[in-house]
Amino acid sequence: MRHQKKSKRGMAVVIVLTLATAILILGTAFLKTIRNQGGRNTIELGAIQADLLAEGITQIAMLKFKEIPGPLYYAYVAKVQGQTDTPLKEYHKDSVLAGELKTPFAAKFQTTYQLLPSKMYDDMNIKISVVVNVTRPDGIDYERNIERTVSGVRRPAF
Amino acid sequence: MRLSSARKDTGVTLLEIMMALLIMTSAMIPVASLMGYGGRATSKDARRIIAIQTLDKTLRQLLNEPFTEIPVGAGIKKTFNKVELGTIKTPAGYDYDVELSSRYISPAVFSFQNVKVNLPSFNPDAPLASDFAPTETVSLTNCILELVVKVSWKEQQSLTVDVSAMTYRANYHRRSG
Repeated sequence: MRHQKKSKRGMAVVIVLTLATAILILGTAFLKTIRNQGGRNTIELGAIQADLLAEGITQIAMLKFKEIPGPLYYAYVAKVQGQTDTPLKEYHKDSVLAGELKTPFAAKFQTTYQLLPSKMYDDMNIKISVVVNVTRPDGIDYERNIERTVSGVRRPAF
Repeated sequence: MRLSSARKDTGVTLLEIMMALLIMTSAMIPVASLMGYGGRATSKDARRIIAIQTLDKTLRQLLNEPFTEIPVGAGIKKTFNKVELGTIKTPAGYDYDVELSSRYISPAVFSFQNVKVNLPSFNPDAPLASDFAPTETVSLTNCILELVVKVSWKEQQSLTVDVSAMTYRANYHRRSG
């Protein structure tokens, strides 16, 4: 009888301690969620930076193709026919198409031209692929790939 | 008399209540401050998200503007065409400073290997390695613009925070211009 009475003493403290621990666990989980939310915003910025940079490089790649279309066409045919791939590699080498950025953020980019011929090269569609790799402030890389297709028709020079 | 003594033993003492209250209070203080921190963090995130959206919108607008109408220079804050620059007040009541810095990538150098189409042996359907001339370059002046947009805003009324992104614009109509 006396033992039963003793066991009931201090029960309030035990209950409160349990409750307080539960509250602290919930609080820690809440804090973790908030911190992760901040990280998600960084991801969003990285995605936008990579996307906009890729759009810009695509414009430069399209300008090069507009200015110098012939060498790309013959370089591609020579590669496909198994003759040489050096001229095609040369066409992709420019630092504005394949290089890296340091400011305003760290990024690496690579551009690839691909010919999608039809009707034995009378119709020529060019696929320009730009791959941008942005390094986020927390050190994690974020990659974005943008593809644009330009269609063209081969016309006789004379 | 015996009944009264038993009741006394089974109840919660004042000391226990006081101790429980003390523990509960000390547990609730950090939790309450955590709630405040959560609210502040949510507002901070909201401001950052709006800044990123503004940054994206401004640069996409710049990608659609005519090449010749984009101003060149550093720290441009004057609105032009549909591109909103300078101080922008959002419906949520936040103030942002939007700044454009643009410069020509000039000359833009493009390298390639020309083809000797006049060679008698030249076959346009299967050009040989010997049909290609050594590497040469074409330099284009003032036809690529580097555009950097910076959106800045204030946190805790004094600390300036910013986000920035960049893109390029190419002038496809340079010959007709």
